[in-house]
Amino acid sequence: MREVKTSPNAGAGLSDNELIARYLKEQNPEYFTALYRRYGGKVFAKCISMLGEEAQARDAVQDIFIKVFLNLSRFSEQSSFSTWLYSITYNFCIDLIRRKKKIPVLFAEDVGQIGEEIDVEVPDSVLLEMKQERLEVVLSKLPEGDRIILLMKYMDDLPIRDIAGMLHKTESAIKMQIMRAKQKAQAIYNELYASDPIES
Amino acid sequence: MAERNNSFKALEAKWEADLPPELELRVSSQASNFAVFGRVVELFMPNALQTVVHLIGGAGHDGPEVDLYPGRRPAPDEWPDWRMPPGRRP
Repeated sequence: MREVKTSPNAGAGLSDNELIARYLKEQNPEYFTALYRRYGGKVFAKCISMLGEEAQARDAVQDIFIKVFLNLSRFSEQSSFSTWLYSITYNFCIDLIRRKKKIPVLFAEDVGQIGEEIDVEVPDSVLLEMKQERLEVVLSKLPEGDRIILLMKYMDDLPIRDIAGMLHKTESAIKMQIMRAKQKAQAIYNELYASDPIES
Repeated sequence: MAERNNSFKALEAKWEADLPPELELRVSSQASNFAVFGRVVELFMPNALQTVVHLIGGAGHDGPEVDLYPGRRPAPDEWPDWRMPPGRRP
C-alpha cells in the first residue's frame, strides 16, 4: 500500500461542502483526509456501539470511508454531509450485523408485529441520566435492532421521520420500537443493578 | 436538552477518543491509491479502447473521441493509417 504524508491542517478552516468541492476539482486526497479527521471519531463511535467489537469497528470505519470516497461525486447537497455519512454508516453496520449474525429482521415491520397492547411510557430521562458505564452495559445487552434505534434517537438526535426514512419503516413502527427498546433497557438495568433500581 | 445530562453523548465522546490513530494512515493511503488508479484509468482507458476498436477492424470514429494533439487539429492525411485492415483500404 502506498503511504501518504498529509499535512495535519490541510483544509482545516473549510466547510464540509467546500472540502468536497475542492477534492472533486483538484483530486487532492488531503481534502478527503481532512473530512476523515473531522468525522472518523464519530463514525468509529457508531460502529463500535453497533458492532460491539473494536476490531470489527476498525475495519468497518475503513470500509465506510472508502465507500464514501468512491461515491463522493454522487453526494448532492440536499442533506448535510454528516447526515449522508451517518446514513451510510448505519446502513453498512446494519447489513454487516444481518450477514454475520444471520438476523434477517432487525426492526419491526409495522405496529402489529410489535404488539398493540397499551404500554407504560418510560421517560427519556431514565436513559439520558443513567451512569455512563451502566448505559454501556445495558446497551450491550439489548437486541441489535433496539440498540441501533436508541442510538439513532438519543446519540444522534435524529427525528423519527429521518429514522423511519433511513430504515424504510413507518413512523408509527419506529415510535413503538423506541418505546419497547426503552422498556427493555429499563428492565435490563433493574435486573443488573437491583440494589439501585430506576423507576419511571 | 443540556448535553452534559445525556449519557449517550458522554458515551459517544468516550468511544470517539478510542479511535486508533493508525486508521487515518490506512484510510488516506487507500483513498490516495484509488485516486491514482482513477487518474490512470481516465488517461489511458480512452486510448486503449480506441486501439482495441482499430485492432478488431473498426474505424476511428467508432471509438470514443480522443484529442491526441491538444490545441492543434492535424490534417486528415496526417493520421496514421497502418491500423486500417487491408480489406478496408480504399
